[in-house]
Amino acid sequence: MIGYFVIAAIAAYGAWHCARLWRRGKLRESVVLGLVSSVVAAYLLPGVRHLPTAESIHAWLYRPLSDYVIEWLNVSTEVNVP
Amino acid sequence: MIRERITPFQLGCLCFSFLSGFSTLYLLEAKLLMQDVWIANLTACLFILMLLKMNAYVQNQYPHANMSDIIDIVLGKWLGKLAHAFYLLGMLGLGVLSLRSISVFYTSAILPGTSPNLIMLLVVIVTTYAASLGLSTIARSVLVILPFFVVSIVAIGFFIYQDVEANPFMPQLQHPLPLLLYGSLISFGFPFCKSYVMVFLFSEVTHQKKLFKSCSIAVVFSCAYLLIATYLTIGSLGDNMFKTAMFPFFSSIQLVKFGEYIERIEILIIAIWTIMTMYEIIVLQYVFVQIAGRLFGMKALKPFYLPVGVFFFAVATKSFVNPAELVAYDLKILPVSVNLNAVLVPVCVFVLTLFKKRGGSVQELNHS
Repeated sequence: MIGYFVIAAIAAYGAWHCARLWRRGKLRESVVLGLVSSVVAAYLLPGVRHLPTAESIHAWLYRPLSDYVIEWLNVSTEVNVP
Repeated sequence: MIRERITPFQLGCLCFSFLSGFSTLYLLEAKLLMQDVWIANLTACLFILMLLKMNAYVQNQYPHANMSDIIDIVLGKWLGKLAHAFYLLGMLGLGVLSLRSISVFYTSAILPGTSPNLIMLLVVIVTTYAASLGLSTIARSVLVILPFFVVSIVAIGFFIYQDVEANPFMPQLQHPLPLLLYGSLISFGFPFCKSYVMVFLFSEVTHQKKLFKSCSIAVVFSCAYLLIATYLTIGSLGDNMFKTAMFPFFSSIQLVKFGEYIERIEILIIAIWTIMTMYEIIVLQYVFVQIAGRLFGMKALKPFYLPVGVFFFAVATKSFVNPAELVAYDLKILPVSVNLNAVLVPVCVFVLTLFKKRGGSVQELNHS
């Protein structure tokens, strides 16, 4: 429900400002705004899963290094999470 | 484009709010190190002061350029763009962490039946409005909130201190050096390394010579606040309860009773935490839009605050669905991932600035 509301809002906002920027000759801004709005809408569509997030990209990039550091230092990083 | 200037004092206040937003929410490094946590916090604090000194030195060499421009000049166009992409990714990660932390806190401590997405959306609406008002408005509003924060925390700290019977930081040096080192990394990853975001505001400060002084005072006060909160929390809750509480400082505040006049004093702290966390997201959103604008060569940035805010929200809805994932990320990935943005790029820029003769392009930039 919240997702649909935000998609509708960002689509309307994106379309309005894209057209406005385009009319003023700011093509680059208009294209980037359209792209950002589309990406946001894609993230919020229900049923769309496995999109990259900052968390997943960082985990993919740094997990081997993190595992190596933890193993090298031989430390336990277990803390209680209720 | 009109440049919005802030004073060094405003930068310091903003830096303190940014670092202390919810630095006391989880106290993860304290859960690992218990009484030796002060070593980790002080080590991380000293390290970040050193990095801030480097950043302030670099900024002083190019007084009229933003740190984004400096990175472009020093590292070159394409390497600079790559560094900016990593900065944007890091800031998106920090923004998502803040949004998720605030929603986890609300849904587990106060509003268990409310959707986390709704809480995040409400926060994003407020932060988007605030970020679109501009840097000088953000900085001036911090000056209104900060005295309220200081008085409340001092009062609550005084009441919690009455429950502390023994020094919780004794006996000292009970943990091996590798664990102390890793604890320092965790403390560096969160909250101290976040100060790399403030570096992008350096060019907007009126007195460039006071950059390091204002930021270092903010970092030292932030470290003192973290240490005092940890001391009071371990001292009032005891070791076992401290380790098992999800939000230990919040649990210790819940123990405070002030006669029959003030009840549920933790509500006050929740309000303060929420506002301070919002400042963190506001600054992230503002700097994110500025860097994205430079990355894509855009001038009109005003229409981007809302899409970027909603982008933070959209990514947050897909991240850290389970609070355990958030804690695992803070403990394992963040201490390593921040080093590229907070250490590697600033050190490279500093070293290259030291050795690079200031060429024509820099002088042109300074005169423009």
